[in-house]
Amino acid sequence: MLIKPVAEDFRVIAHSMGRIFVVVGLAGLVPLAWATVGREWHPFSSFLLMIGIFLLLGVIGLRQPTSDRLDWSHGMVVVALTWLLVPLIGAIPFVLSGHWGGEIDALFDAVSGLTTTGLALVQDLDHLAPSLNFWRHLLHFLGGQGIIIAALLVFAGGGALTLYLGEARDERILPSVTSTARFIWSVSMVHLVLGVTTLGLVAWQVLGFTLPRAIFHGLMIFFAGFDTGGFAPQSTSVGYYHSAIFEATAGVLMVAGAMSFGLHYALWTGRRRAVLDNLETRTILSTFGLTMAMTLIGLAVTGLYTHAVGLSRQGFFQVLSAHTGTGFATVPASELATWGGLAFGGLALAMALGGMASSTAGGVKALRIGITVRSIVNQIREVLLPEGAVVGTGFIQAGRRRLTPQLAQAAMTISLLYVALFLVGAGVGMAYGVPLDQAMFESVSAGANVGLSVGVTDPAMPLMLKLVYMAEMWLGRLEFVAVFAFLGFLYAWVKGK
Amino acid sequence: MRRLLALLAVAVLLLAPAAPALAQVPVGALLSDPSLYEGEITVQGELVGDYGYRSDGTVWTQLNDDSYAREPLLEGGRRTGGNIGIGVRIPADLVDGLDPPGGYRKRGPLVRLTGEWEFHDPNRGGESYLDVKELILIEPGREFGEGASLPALLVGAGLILAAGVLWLRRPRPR
Amino acid sequence: MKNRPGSRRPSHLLSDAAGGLISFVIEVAAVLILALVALLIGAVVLLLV
Repeated sequence: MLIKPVAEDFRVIAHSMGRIFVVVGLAGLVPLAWATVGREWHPFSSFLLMIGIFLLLGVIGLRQPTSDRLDWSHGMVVVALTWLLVPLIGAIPFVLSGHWGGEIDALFDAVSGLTTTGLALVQDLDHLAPSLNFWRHLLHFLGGQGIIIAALLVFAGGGALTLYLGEARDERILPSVTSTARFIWSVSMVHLVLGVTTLGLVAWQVLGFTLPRAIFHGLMIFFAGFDTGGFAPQSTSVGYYHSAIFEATAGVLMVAGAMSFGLHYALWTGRRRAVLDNLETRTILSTFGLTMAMTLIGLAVTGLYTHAVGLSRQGFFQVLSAHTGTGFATVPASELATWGGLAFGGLALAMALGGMASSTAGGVKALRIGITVRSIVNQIREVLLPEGAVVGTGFIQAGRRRLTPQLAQAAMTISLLYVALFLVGAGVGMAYGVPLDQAMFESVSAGANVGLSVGVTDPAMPLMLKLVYMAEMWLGRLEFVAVFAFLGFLYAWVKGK
Repeated sequence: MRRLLALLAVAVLLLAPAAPALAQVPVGALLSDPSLYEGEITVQGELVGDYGYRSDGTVWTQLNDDSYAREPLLEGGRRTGGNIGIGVRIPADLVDGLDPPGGYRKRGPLVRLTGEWEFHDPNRGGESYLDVKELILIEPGREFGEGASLPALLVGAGLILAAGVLWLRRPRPR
Repeated sequence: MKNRPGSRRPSHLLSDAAGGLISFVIEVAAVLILALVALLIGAVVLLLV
């Protein structure tokens, strides 16, 4: 029996959306400033328009009188709406630039940016205005760090916890959500300074770029790497730099981005042993080793690489990119499509498994894999051991935890939903004539918010496929729950009493 | 008679086209089947991105062989999909004097490059690139302008103003 | 038990730039170790295949 939402529900939601729109609108001032400095007047005007829409909608929302009680269902609706509406308005500068084939293509890239996926439909990227390129990468940062957290910091208000959990971050690292949000911000800023400095130095001194361009590349690769997004400033992705040192530095940011913020907290506060005892760390090291071995064996068998250094470097980078959900590539999509057999399996599996929970990575996520595997192992032990024997159900995840049936069930349900998502996306691809392995690869890439492509994602691809991948990116980023709550809310609005 | 023959010989030598030692390979074909073209090849296109001057006296950049090299978007060119490019390594002295590489409002120099196509070069950790020996400038770089969109400016400014007014006149709790 | 989450005040964290630097170094080390492992696996794989 569904209860129809009343005006107060809409006001609360509108108020929260208002906060978020204002924050994003203000964030838009950065690319606007960039366009001003670079005298990029056409992008300038499109950013002005975008900011105007965000700010006006934001103020209208904020003016809604409300007692500020954001409960769970409101929070979920706000999260789902944010990842729908922000890309819609954020795509306006893309549409006006002429570099996208239409509104849907521009929206696709905006969704891809905000969900930190990295699949792209942009055309002639190599001649795109730097301020627009910056906006693409900034979307990664906004979506990764969570617009919602930023909104909370700016307008400390009620309902923080609901929004935070709806955002698919499963743990509270610090006593209050606000202090957790501030910690996440600190981690991001430290990595920004260290990351951009290192990348910039490498680009300037080793690669021989001019200093302004070195900083530009450093900044863009930081946003895309640390937020495990995968957009890159040039059309040849990270292969553009032809430098193992640059790839390694980007790799550090990718790893940092795929680590949970809880793990960052443990590192910062000196509890380094806790890092290795953690269930997620152990899970992800195992799956990384497994997928790495699979990919390298596959590549060696196909004879694509015949020397150890080349094999390991290219294999390592692509698997790291896949597993962290980043999506950087050092080989062109056309070549990645030839990574068949076990190499394909290794990459696809790495993408599907994903990074750690409570990070910017996507996929099923290490925590769920770990819980699922533990759960299955425990079941088997219970069967094998004499009746009455007790099977230990503890694991370490920010302290000692118990593997309860509820936890196991939740983990397995979401894992299954991801698998279903990947399969549906693959099915639609195949319906349009895409070969099974490519359809599967691209579907997993979209649903796990990775962004590696074997060439299926292309401006000429069917409209339905664009819509399906967009839906996958949305569902995958929000880990289903917020979307289901949102759909339930809509249904109750229409059908409830 | 001998003079006539000599003149004829000179004329033939002068008029014969410079032997294209190698067929020109479109970069798109190179990317579709990279292992097929190992060896010396010639490619043609626009240099884009950056000129990376490395300490070993070489410059790394990217060569794009797509419609945007010939018909830039800002000059009314049509959209034809993504860029089609490869990494190229050029001796620094060949790059001297070239216009800056292509980017926003810039069409980079159109060049014809001849060199060794390295596919998964074991000496460079498996990278694929063109190791250039010869560079011929076909067309120098070009710059263009792109003005602001007046409607976007006006509407945007108007909306911001409206937002400001609405915010300042918001109902305050007493 | 002294480093339980609740016991550390947020204001201390913000000034823990040293903590940030050390964790960055650890992250670099982790990537280098993983890369070495990859190299080892690669070498072994090529020998066997």
